[in-house]
Amino acid sequence: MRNIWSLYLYFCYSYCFLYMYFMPLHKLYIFSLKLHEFVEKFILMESRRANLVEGGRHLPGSYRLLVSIVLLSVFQGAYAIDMHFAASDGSGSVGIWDHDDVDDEIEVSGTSSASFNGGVSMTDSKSLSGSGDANINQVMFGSGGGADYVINYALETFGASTIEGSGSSSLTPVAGSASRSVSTTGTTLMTSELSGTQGGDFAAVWSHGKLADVSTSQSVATGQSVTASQNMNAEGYNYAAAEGYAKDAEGNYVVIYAISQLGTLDTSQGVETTNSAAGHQKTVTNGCVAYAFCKAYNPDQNYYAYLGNIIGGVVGPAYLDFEGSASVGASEARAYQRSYAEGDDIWPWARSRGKLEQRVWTGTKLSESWAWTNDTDDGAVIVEL
Amino acid sequence: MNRYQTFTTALLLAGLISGASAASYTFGVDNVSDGSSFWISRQSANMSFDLSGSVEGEISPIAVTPAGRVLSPYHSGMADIDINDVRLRERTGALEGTYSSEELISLKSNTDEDVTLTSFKPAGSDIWTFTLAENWPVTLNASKTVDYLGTMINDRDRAGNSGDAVGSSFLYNTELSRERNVALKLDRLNATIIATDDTIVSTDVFATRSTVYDTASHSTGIADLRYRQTDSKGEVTNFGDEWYSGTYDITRRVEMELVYDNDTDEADWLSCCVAGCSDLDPCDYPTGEFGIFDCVCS
Repeated sequence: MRNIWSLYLYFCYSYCFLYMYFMPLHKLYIFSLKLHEFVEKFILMESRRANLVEGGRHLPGSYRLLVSIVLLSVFQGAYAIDMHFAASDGSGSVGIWDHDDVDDEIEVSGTSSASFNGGVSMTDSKSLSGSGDANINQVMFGSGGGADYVINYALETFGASTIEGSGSSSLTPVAGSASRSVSTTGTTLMTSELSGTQGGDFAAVWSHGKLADVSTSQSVATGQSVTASQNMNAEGYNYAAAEGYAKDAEGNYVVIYAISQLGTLDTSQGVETTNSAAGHQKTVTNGCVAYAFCKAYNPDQNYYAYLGNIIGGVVGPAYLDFEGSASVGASEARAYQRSYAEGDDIWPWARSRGKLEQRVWTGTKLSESWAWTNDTDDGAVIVEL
Repeated sequence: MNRYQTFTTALLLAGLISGASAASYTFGVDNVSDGSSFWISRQSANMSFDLSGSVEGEISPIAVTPAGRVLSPYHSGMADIDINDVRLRERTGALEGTYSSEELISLKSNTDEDVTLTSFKPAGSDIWTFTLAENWPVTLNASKTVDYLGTMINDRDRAGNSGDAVGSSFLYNTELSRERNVALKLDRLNATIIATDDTIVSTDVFATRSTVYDTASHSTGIADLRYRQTDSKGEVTNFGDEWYSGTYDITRRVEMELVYDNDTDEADWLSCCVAGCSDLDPCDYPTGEFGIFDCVCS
């Protein structure tokens, strides 16, 4: 068993290294974090070590956005069109920056409209269809109303047999919302990432597939809070993954994550942040490997709640029906999951600041886990149902 | 009565600015490949402005201190109006003499309509088409009369409308009487930018507008009359400059108009020759039933 996993990891690393070599740098960085985390879990699974390594090293939201924008500006395609449209009524401003680098076989159509009645506002819609490579980045903003925000969208596909996408945005100086839907088939690689940041709060959702057919609908909204959500379903000949990430202005963050290898992934995820961060997901995966987790972390207090379930199906299929949530604030961090799993290796685990609970089963299992921690208590519990 | 106090004026001024709310936007296209770009910025408002006034009197020295310090006789006046590239500029300076003038300005503009931008790239092509539609109308009507007899007067004005301009300069006149009427109308603005992966191919900015400048004058110094009209690419298509030195009676009326027509040319939507006609001169596109259906491609 140990040799099988070692061999698997070897191929995984080798293949992904070549793959990363051809990726744009900003995607490479983000993906490298995912890869690191992904492989880390396999190492953990293989060794059954008790001391789980803290996974999911993420950039703080604002830096992540900044790095993304800067790198997009520096490494944007050699053949690309940038469009800028901004409007102001003297007291507030809204705008959109659109960067398109698409193959000839892809049709792109968009409409933006700026209105000045009752204050400035802007709406935007866009669609694309065809086949081939597409690299589209959009930055939308609102400012001047006392709650400046930025919404960022990035879509990247390589070698899609078909791609269909649409999206719309609504912007005012104090609040913005955007939704994007994209479906790709036969793509070598696709990534669709939508995020929003406002007043130090950051929320993002991310859909990713390699050698996969992916369909995802994402949305983000800023205003009283920053929220992001997505519904993704994918069939991966290599793998498909989805993530939600939210971080508040104090640095508290949650990560919601699911991945399927050589199988299907159907997930609904949502994250939100105001003075705290929270996220949830409902995920069904069926493949060679199925994995989902929820994590909450308060770096100032070192409050930590982290749990997940990873299913290996080397001999048979790996199936996971996972519903989980995580939340973190100034006083505590919490995570919860309830899942049904089928596979050769069923490994749920839960970890708080001071405790780790884990089980290993084979066959089918319905389990429930909690992890929580605050300044007076912490705990991690797994219940076999 | 002190002769320096004989300066009399009768001025009726009614200026009104109501409901002003500024609106502006910026639109730009950058081609990353070669760095070519197109940018446009516009500004307007929901605004009305009305002014009417008259003045009649003697431009003469006046004492401003008990010790008898005297201000030199001088009259100056200016006006600057600029909204959404509809402009009126006036400058008047006169030395001692008799001066009378009447002026009427009426301005209306609104930004009720949305500014709309579309982009499109068809499949199988790398040609991007961006269209911008702005419907922010501006109407500016201004009339002015001047009558002067004295040491010297300079009177200049310039009316501009989205690249078109008409103006007059009357300089070093000891006697000047003139009447001028300006009617400027901006209806809408449409812009079309065509770009490929390599460069921005063309940019056309159509401001649908009309400009009327009507003047009649009697002058004794220098009279300089100019006009300029531009096309959708900002190129000057009509230009005129006339210079008169001496005593003249001049009447002039300039009317300029540019209308954006979005109608599709019949030769555009129904191509006669699908392929093999790359050497056809666009001026030779066939028209009419016979030409459309009976053309021969070389």
